[in-house]
Amino acid sequence: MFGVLAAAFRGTLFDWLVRTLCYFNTAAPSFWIGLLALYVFSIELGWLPAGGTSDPRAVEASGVDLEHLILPMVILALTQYAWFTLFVRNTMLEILREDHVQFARAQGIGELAVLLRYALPNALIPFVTLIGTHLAELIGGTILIESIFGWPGLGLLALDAARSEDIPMIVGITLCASVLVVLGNLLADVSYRIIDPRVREATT
Amino acid sequence: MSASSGALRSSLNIGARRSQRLAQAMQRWPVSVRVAAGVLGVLVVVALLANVIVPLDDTAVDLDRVLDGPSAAHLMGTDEVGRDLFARVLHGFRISLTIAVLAALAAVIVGTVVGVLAGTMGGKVDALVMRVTDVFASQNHFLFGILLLVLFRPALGGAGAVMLAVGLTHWPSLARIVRRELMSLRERPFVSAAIGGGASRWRLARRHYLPHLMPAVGLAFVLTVPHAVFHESAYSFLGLGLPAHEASLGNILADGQRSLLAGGWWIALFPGLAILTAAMTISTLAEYWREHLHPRWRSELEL
Repeated sequence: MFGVLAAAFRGTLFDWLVRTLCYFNTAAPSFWIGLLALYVFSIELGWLPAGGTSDPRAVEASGVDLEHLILPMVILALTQYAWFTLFVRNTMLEILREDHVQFARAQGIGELAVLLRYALPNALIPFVTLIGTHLAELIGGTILIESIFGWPGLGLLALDAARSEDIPMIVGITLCASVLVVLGNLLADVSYRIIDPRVREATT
Repeated sequence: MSASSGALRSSLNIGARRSQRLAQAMQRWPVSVRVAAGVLGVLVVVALLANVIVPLDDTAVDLDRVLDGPSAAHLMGTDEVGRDLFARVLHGFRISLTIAVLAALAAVIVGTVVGVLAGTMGGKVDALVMRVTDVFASQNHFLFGILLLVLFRPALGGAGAVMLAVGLTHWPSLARIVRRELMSLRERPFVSAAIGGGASRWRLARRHYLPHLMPAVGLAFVLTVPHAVFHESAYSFLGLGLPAHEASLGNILADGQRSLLAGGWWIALFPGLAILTAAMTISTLAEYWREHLHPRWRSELEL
C-alpha cells in the first residue's frame, strides 16, 4: 500500500519518508524492537501482558488469546512489511514506465485508476513469489520473538532444543522449515499460472 | 637508478590520480551517502580505538551502582552488576563487528569458490555443485545457523561457531550470481582469445574472470556484513553464541532483557542503537554503490 503511494509520489518528501522508515525497519533487529515495545507497552504503560499465554482452557473456549498475541504479532509483522513495501515500490516504478501504462494515461484515464487498475495488478505478480519465500523466514523470526515474549510455540521449542543440545529435534524443525520453503516456492510457481495470463499462454 | 625512480614517480602519480578521482567522486555523493560514510567512519575508528578510549574490565563490578541510569559518570548507565555500559557497548561493537566482517568474508569466499567451480567446470560438476547449492539455499538461515552452532560450538568455541554458522548459510545467492556471470563471460571474445593463446585454466580464472567478478563479490561482502552483525547478536542474545561474560552486543541485549522488569531500559536501548546505526550506514553505502555498478542486482542477491 505505502509502496504504491511512494511510487506514485516518487522523489517527494513522502517517498523519502516511507523509504527511510523501511530502511530503519530492515536495519533494526526485531528482538531489539521487541524488547523496547515490551518495556513501553507492558512495563511502563501496563496495557498488555509482558509475555506467556493465559490458561489454555480459556484459550480453547475463545479460540484465540488476543491479549497475549498482539505484541508478538505486531513486531513480527513489522519485520516483514518493510521488505514488501520497498519491493512493491520498485516494481511499481518499473511498471509505470511501461507502454500500456503510458497508453492508459494517453486515453485520458485518471491517474488513480491507472495506478490501481493498470499498474498494481502487474506489480503484485512478483509479490506472490516473495510471500512464498518469506513464509519460512517468519519461522526463523519467531524464535527470537517467542523467546522474548515467552510464547510456547515452535520457535521456543527449537530454542530449548538448541540449549539442551537436542540435535534430532533441531534437525527436525530445520527440515520442516526447508520443506516450507520448497512448498512456498512451488505454490508461488503454480499460482503464477493462475494469476498471470502470459505464463499460461506460454506453457500450454 | 633512473628507471626505478621513474617507476616510483609514475606509481606516485597513479596514487595521486586515484585519490583525486575519489575526491571528485565524493563531491558527487548525495547528502545521505556522505552522512552515512562519515558516521560509519567514526564508528569504525571508535571501534578500533576502543581500548584507548575506555579500557574494558569484565570484572570491575560496582555493587553500589547497580542499574544506575545514564549520567555524567556513566554515559549509558550501568548494568545489573554495576559495570559501565558505555565501555561494554563500545567493546561489544568492536567484537561484534570483527566477528561479522570475518563471517561475511567466509560466506563470500565460499560463495565465490563454489560459483567459480560451477561456472568454469560446467557439465556434471556444475549440475552436482548447483544441486548442493539448492539444498543450502532452501534452508532457513537462522534455524540452520542454530543447528550449525549447536554442532560446532564445542569444537570451535562461540566466536568460531558463529562465523561458521553465518559463513555456511549466506553463500548460495552469491554462488548463483558468480556462476551466471561466468557463464556469460565464457562466451566473450576476449576469453576465446585467451584460450586460443594457450592460457591455462588457472590463468584464465585469475587474469580474466576474477577482475570481472570483483564488483559483484565486493558488493555481496558489504551487503552481508549487516546480516552477520544481526545474526551474531541474535545468536548471542539467545545464549547460543559467544560466552555470556563477553561483551558482545547480543550478550548485552540479553542482559538488557533480564533488567527490563527492574526498569533498566538503557541496557537494552544502547546496544540496539549501535546495531541499528551500523546496519543503516553500511546498507546506505552499499545501496549507493550497487546503483552505480549495476541497477538490476538487487533482485538477484537474496540474503
